[in-house]
Amino acid sequence: MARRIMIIEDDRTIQQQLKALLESYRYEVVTTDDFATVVEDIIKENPDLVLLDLNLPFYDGYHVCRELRRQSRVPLIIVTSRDSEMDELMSMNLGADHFVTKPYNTGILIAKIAALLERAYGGSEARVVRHADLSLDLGMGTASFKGKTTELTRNESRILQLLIENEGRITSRDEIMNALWQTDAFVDDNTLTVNINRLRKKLATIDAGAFIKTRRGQGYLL
Amino acid sequence: MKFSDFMRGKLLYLTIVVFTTTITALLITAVFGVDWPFTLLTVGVLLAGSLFALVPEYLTKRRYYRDLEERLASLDRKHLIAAVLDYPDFEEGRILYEMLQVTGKSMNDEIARFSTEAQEYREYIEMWVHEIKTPIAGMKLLSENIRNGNLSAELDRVDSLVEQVLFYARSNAVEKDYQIRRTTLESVVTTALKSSARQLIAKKMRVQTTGLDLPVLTDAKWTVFILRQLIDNSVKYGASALEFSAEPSVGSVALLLSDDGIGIEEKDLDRIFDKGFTGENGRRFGKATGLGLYLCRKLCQKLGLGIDARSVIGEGTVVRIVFPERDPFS
Repeated sequence: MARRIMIIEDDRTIQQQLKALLESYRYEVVTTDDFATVVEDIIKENPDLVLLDLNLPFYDGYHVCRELRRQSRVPLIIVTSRDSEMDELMSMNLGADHFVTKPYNTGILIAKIAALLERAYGGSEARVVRHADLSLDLGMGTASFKGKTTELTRNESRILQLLIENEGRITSRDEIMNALWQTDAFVDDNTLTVNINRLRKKLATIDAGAFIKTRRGQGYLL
Repeated sequence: MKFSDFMRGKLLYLTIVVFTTTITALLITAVFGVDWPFTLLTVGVLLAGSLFALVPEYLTKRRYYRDLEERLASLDRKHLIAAVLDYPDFEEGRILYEMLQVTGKSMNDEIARFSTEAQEYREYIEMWVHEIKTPIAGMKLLSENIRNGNLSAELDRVDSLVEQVLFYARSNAVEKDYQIRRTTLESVVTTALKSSARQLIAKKMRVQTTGLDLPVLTDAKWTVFILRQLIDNSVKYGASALEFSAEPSVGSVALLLSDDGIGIEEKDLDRIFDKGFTGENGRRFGKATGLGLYLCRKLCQKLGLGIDARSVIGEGTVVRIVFPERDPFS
């Protein structure tokens, strides 16, 4: 069962694009356009996590935050364009779990959501991603194909995860590098080539070597 | 006011006194046949009287102006002199006093008007930056969802320029909107690298970080902004490798950012942190605003950090940021 995330955001573009982004990461997303009863709506929807904007019509985010915390311990990330220290402190004091400023780095936002969900509900699920018979266990850092298993390094595992998430689409080298950088691995072009070659070799040992295809000058495809 | 200066101002009066006394002396001797000794005595009394009449005036004025000078010297903001002025007890002083009151008031009004305007402008800029961040965030999400890396990269640039505006506005603010907290060099450097990731990856930059696991006391957000300005510069001026390292010493920790870019001319090195200075490199590359490093130094000053640079033409530049240890618990 996919985790349900509720987006409380009055800017339609952001609301819809954030929804699309999160859905591409296989989350179920709920939104609302009625901000007069927002706290009641959150309670009623009972999501696994709430993304809350601070500048809202009717009530500001602080009010929503305070009211929500009286009734619920749902994981809460504040997403806002106000970025003063005061706003961050206020948010934390009112019980938000994270404070992310616009325009956010989506990689970081996704990582924070995943980490928060894992902390709140345990990492039992969504830790394995699959492409056909190839499966990647993110918790163990192992790839398996038809009963055979191989161990992957953190970078290799991240690369394979990204390719599986983008299955059927070309993933550019820059995109892969960007994803690795977001996990504090500041790899350069050569290192990436080495990482990908090693990943391919390891996949070959479990007879899954043919999965990653190269599109010259464009990137990789699974 | 020296006595001689005062007397010089009375030169015409003195000349006339001497002239009339001399004529009187000549007249009474020649016409009325008065004896010389008696004439001299009369002349002496007249001259002494005329001179003595000036003394109280001199003393009054000397006291008043000396007092005025002392107050002006001790005053931090000189334009407030009118407020600490005593009401003088002689006529010209009163004219001066009235004038200073009027000009002082007009000057204070003017200053108040400008500082209100500056304050309002700053608030407007801050509000505007926060407003524009929502559409930028929307566009960034759009560009990621349609997987357009070029668009995302351009939006990153827009975002970082907008950020610069915000920090420029803040750098002039009186109130502190920063929080000095314990963090590590590692944490601020990786945050900066992550936010500049797309730009650095596009330029095929090789990035290395060594020995950064050291605690520092600073505002993370401001420090990250400073680092991003420096990274921007390295990218702009031809670097292909970037290294972050630490240099701990007694009482402080320095963060070194070394690149292998085109370097900075010796003669420019002292001035790169000046406002509006673009130098040889700025002229050659034509994209310099002379603001980035100026802001870096200004924000460093506010945070109590030191910043300097050394460079060899053709080999690269090293920028050093010094974080003092002020923690009473360590």
